[in-house]
Amino acid sequence: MLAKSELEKLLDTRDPERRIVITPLLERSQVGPGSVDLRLGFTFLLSRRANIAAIDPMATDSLKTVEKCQERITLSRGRLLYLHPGEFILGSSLEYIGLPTNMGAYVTSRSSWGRTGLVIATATSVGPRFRGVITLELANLGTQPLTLRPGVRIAQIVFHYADGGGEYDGRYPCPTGPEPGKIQKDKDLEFWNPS
Amino acid sequence: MSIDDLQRLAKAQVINIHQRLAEARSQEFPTNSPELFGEFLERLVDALGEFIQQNSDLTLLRYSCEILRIIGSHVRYLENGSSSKVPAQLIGSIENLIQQTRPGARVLLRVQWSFNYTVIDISDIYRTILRNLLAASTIDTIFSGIADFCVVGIPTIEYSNVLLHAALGHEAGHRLATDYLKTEDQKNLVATTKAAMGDLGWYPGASQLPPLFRFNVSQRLLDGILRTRKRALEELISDLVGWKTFGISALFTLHNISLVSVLDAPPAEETRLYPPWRLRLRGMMLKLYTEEIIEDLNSLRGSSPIDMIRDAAVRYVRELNDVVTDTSDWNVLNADGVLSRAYADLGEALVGSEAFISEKLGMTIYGRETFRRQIADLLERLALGFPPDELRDSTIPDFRSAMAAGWLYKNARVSVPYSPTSEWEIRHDETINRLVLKAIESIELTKSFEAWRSGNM
Repeated sequence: MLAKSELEKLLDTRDPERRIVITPLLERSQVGPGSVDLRLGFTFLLSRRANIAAIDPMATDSLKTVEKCQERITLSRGRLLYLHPGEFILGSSLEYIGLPTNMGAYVTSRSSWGRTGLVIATATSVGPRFRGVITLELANLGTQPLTLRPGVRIAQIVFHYADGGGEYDGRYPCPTGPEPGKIQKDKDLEFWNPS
Repeated sequence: MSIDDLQRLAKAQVINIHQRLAEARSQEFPTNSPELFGEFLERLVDALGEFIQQNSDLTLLRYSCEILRIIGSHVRYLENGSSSKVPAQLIGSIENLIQQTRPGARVLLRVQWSFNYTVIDISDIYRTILRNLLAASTIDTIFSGIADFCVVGIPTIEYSNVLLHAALGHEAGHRLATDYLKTEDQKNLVATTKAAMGDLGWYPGASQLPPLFRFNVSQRLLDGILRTRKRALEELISDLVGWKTFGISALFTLHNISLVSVLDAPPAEETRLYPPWRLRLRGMMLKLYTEEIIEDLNSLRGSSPIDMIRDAAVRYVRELNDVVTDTSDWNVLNADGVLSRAYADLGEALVGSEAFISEKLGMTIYGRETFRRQIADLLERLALGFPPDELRDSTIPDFRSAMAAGWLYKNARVSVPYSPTSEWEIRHDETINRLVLKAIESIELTKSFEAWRSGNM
């Protein structure tokens, strides 16, 4: 895990091969002893009722099915989003992250938010050379509605060195907002789902 | 229809409009301007509804019902302005740009089915319509908080093509063009046009006409020449504003939009007297050379893909130069007596408008120095797969530089993030658009945040 002084060094270096990019980093105080606070972005994917039987994430046209029951909204600064008990939405970090080849990261909840019942980022691993905003899976496990506000510090990212890194060839090239899952792109899916 | 029929019709229309407004207003909007517009329409509909119920003049009632229909159709501006339909991150920058020429103006950004960029001065339209119906004090109440309101339209199919939205610089320019044209000496303009028309010897058959008919033809031609000239100048001055506010992005946008059009199509009534595209492109290319932007493109230095982007940009400009060196548009214009006279003094008039525009735009002008200083850093950011939102010295760039970087990168057709082993694919254009939009969001947010912080420390 990278501690503050190393994090600051890598945030400030001009060497693109070593640099950690976090943009916009609105306040330097977001850099903590062993992590960087991430803010909630302005765009969300919300669920809506749709004329579909079920979402089968493994179906080849699952992305289209998912799109039918999701609505992308962008809030302006100062607007609120209410997350009701049991509700699940996708949001993203405000910050666009860029990792060098030799580095990975984990995104975790901030405990202050966890104590309100908010669960964030169940898929927390960020691979070397990833570029993009981090999609946050937001769910309210509490019993009271939660008020979310874009811009608030909602998660934290912890960096670590990774040996033998290469080019990022994941499914999410340069995302700038929350992205639905792409399980259907698993290469061995045909074996598990014979027609 | 009787008075009673019209009053019942109006009641039903008012109820319908309220229902549609309630539905439209339940959406999420990128700013609070659409919300204000919704409230404004509600006040307007109520006032008009009340006027109709208290009036018994059949003509006025018909007219008022027609206005209600028009208002009903304007609910679509709200419906198409929700944050799920427009590039919400762009609205702040567009609002700032329009407010430079119209302090305090509110902006509603919406998508429209037609392939066109528009800025509609909605408050002016309503004031004109209502002037003869409602009392001045009622009108003032209806317009409270919304004295100057623009509805900015972008084409639905291009909503995610943020680079093309540089066209809004041109659209915002129409207001300045109108203001400038009002300052022209109309008497002198008519006199010089009449002198240029001479004895109409150039107009087929004019010499055989009896004096009275000849006078009529002369008046019609004079009107045609002046309207054609005015329309040409409206577009060309707006182009100039587009150039001054968005720089090279305005040129690329104009070229992109012109691609599906006939370059030398002469101005005609059915095309609302638009000047030929080639002529408009020539105007922008002239700025590119006189402001020496071409030198800045030539001097872009850096490792791949910067060198590739530079070469592609220079090649692109060279090809555009070939297009505008061809004067076939002038051949078409000069072959027509009306058009040649309408276009005779355009160059001179444009030069005259430049000082006026520069003064009005003030600090909004996107100058060469900003472009020159910022562009290479931002291209590097794009090449690395980052939003073009930060310069090497960690300062924030101008959002117009981010757009220019997006255009230059896109025109070069290299992969993003750049990899010498990856070929360009169409999806890279989409990535560039998203990165530029993210950059605009970051730039505007950082500026606002820093302003807030400096005011709170």
